[in-house]
Amino acid sequence: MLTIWIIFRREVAQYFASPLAYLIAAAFLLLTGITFNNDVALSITVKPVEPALIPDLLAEIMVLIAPLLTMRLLAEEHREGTVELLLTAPIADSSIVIGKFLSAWAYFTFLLALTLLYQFILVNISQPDIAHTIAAYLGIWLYGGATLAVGLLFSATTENQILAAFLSLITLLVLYFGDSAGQIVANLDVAAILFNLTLRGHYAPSFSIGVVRAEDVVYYAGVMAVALFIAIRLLESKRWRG
Amino acid sequence: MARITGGITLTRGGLGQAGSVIGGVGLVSGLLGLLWQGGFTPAIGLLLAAGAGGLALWATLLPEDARAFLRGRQVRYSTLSIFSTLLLVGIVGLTYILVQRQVIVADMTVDSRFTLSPETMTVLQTALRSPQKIEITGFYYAYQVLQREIDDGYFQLYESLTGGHIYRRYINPTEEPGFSAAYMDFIAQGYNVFLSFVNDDGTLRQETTIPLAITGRQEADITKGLRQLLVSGAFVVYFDTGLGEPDPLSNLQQDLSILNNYLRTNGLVTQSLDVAALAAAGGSIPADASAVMIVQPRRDMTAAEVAVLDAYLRRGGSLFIAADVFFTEDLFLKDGGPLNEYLWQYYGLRLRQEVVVDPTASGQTPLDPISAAVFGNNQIGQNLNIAGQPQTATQFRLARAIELNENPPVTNGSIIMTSPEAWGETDWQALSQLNAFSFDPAADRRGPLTTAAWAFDEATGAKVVLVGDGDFVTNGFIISPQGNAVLALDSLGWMTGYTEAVEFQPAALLTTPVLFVDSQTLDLIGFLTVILLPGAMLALAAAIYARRLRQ
Repeated sequence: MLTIWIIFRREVAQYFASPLAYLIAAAFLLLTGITFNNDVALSITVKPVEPALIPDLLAEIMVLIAPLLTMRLLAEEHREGTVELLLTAPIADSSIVIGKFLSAWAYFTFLLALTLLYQFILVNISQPDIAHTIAAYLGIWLYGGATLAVGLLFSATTENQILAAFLSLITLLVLYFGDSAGQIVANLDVAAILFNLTLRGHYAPSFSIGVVRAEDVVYYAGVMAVALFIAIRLLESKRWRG
Repeated sequence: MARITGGITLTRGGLGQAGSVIGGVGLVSGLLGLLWQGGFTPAIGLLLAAGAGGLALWATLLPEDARAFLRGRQVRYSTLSIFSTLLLVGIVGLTYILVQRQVIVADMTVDSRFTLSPETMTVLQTALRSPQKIEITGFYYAYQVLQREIDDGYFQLYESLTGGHIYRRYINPTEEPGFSAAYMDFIAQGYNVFLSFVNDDGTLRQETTIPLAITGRQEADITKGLRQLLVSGAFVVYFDTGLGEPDPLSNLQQDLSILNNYLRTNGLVTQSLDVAALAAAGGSIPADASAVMIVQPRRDMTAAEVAVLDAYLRRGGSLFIAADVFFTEDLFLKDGGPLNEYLWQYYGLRLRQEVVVDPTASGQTPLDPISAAVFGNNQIGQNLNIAGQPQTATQFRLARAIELNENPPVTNGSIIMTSPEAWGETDWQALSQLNAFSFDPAADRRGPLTTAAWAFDEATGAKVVLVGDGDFVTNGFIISPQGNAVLALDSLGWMTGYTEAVEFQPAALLTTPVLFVDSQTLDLIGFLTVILLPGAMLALAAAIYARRLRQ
């Protein structure tokens, strides 16, 4: 646990010491801010504000954000040769992967927390469905964790950051377009299985509408566990592949 | 070692490992599929066969590796990684399936719209007492998989709370066109979910099937459908055919098949009845009759026939009469006729020999009166003339006026009235021969006139609905305007008790209020969220960049 904490702290410090992290945050807040203002302007005297507005938007753009946040995590260590130092240090491979993953997830949580300002504004000007919003935020937090784990997995496969980002982008796009599975296959059961394998398939019909289902939590935790396990195995393979 | 073109090298070890991957993936997928489906399917068989084949390939090409793996000794890192990853995937999949079956759901919406209400729980208790299982058959095309998942969240609740007594089944009309054919008319109209009782051999009792249109208020839709299913067969409506009335089974414009189908679709049983024959044979109206309908009779009733109706009403029966204008001698409910006198004496209602002429509230001619006023003190009128929905008005063709006794022997009242400018035309000769009508202050009554009325005898439970028009329930006019069908169905709903039996009032949606914000506040929000917050992040980025430059 201590080694995970050390890696986590180092990575988080790297995130927040980099101007890039704040540039990403600025772009992120600009996009969510415009979306929020647009919905508020459209809602006036017409409808209540959409409780899951920001999480729903993030469900769409996490496909693009997750590769950006994770592409360097292990690929950079490979490219700069620092991975050898890490592997020879008295740190378990799992600690390296988990520490790095938690740091990326913490940064995503920071971004998500910044958007809570919108909820604070809403509470002051109307009576939003707060519990529904909490469900959606919980869902997108888990969804984000799963996309980051997938991104980290591909960062472990190569020393080329662009390739890592590209591979995770393709994978996440496949997972994102899961609810379109029915347009590709004619069989309803196959379409349902494909849908249930996708990240959105466990967000849109549940968290987004204010419902938390235990199996959806298990799904996201499972995706994270499997992706991180494979990333650990890939890092471990460095030892015997040489 | 075999070399193929393109510089790809196939080694024995590589093939063996590919076999182990295929074997592991096939076995894990097959076993998870078996658990998911709860039975063996061809696809699962294929996966398990592929898994066994892959493992056989691995064991054949890398026998030492396989032996070492089975004995728990050191094996290739890659093989161990593959199998341990597959094991983890299997554990995750298994956990997912087990948790999903527990249906652990937290509904966090402000109005608990995804939680079944106590009213639904009561209906489920009733459903559990039914000896036959109930199937929810959902028809979804593959591209509707998202909608299916949302609906399935509800269906799953009904299934788990009844321990599978109510169960769900999904059909893709493209894949099972034969089975779907019987449902396609409904599916085309937006009814894609059906509730049916199931026979012991697993087949559906199609005569009980209730079609549902899922509107986004899933609980209300399903529970109301369940109530309809549970009362199906309990209400029997008899159409009299002995006085020359239209055929309830014929789909000709002047007949009644649309009304008949409406009733059957909602779980009511419809039968034909000949009151005249019963009177001749000394019989009586069947004991299971929830209501008797007399629509557009071509002659008046005899005293013997009225006696049959009287006996039925005295034991709490319900009578629906839709009488029309016919320029004949033996007019149904003519002045002084046996049935008209009977209704006046016992229910305080009678049809007048007056044709309603309404110059202000009518359709193409003043002889097509539209419901100018509706009385909502009875549940029949509550869904008519809804503000902003002109299609909920009724429209009659050549209607007769009804007179209500000011001192009625039982409770009675008007349902529909004309405008005050209307009058009751008594010169039927001019009307029939010259199509001429004009108000005669000496003979004609001035409006507003009643064109539909009800009566309820609290002592016996008898209910009577009298409408001065018969066209409105025929195939040609029942659909348009919509109010015509509402009048007919709500009348039958009230008379039979069907409405109370199936009514489901979902909990009021406590939606969050509509947003009200002044423009100044809106500007402030825009400044905070689009300029200040992203700007602060940009400033931080610039500060860190500047500090790095200085260092």
